[in-house]
Amino acid sequence: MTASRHQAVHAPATGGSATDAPSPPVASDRGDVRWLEELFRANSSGVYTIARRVLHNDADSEDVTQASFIRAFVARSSLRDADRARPWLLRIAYREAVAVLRRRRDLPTDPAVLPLRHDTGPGPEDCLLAADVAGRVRRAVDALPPALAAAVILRDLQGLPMTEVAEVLGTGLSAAKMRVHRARTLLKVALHADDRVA
Amino acid sequence: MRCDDLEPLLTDFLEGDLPADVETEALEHVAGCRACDLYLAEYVETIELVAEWGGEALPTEVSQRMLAAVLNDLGINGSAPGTGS
Ligand SMILES: [Zn+2]
Repeated sequence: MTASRHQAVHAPATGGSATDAPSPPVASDRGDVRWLEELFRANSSGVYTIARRVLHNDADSEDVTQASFIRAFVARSSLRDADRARPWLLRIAYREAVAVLRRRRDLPTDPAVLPLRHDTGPGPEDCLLAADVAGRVRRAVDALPPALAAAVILRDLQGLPMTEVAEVLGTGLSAAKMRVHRARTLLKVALHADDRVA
Repeated sequence: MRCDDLEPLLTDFLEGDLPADVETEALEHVAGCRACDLYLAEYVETIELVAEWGGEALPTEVSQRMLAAVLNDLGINGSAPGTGS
């Protein structure tokens, strides 16, 4: 079980007054527990995908995924519109992931200015996998700065409207559009350059 | 409209957020410019490739282990994660 490892990332990502140790739910919270289980089943992969693009590491991404659902459960009363659980949850997850990234590396506060990663470039085995389109897309997204990767995943993979992308990223609408556009432009170059080389 | 003017408009263009007159200009430019037509096609294809990739799919056993850990950390006895519903 990852409970102890998970504690390392459970500190509040949003500042504020989140409770560190949630009190156990009482019996009347049974509906809330069901809600959490359904939320998890519908969104665990989506949350993990966002965390993985920010953190580039399976264990930390699992921890952040778990921490996000714990935080969501603790903060469930702040979700006013049940239909908007997904962007609300993804916002929690994105903030958790960025908080872990900052703690891990003591990096600048704006993930948009974080450096591009260089350890995900094509290796010898990638040539053999050139036909693996999904793998190419994944590596190209992994090479984006975290904020751009998150933006393009939220819009083009998870299909959130641009207004919700802005909400999740904690930016204005035009900044969110700009991040999506920059991400797409970088991906376009990466993916179509691959085509020409292959 | 010139080629350089089109690129920063692409997001709004695809969202349908451009004012009607600007959208018409963009469409007319793309129709008459081979370079921008190709650029737009690759841009749209990029969006489709990301959608087709689909992101990470957590294996069921990993997902169930994580849900169990979440419930455990919250002090909840889950409704038997692993048995499904
Ligand atoms: Zn042109």
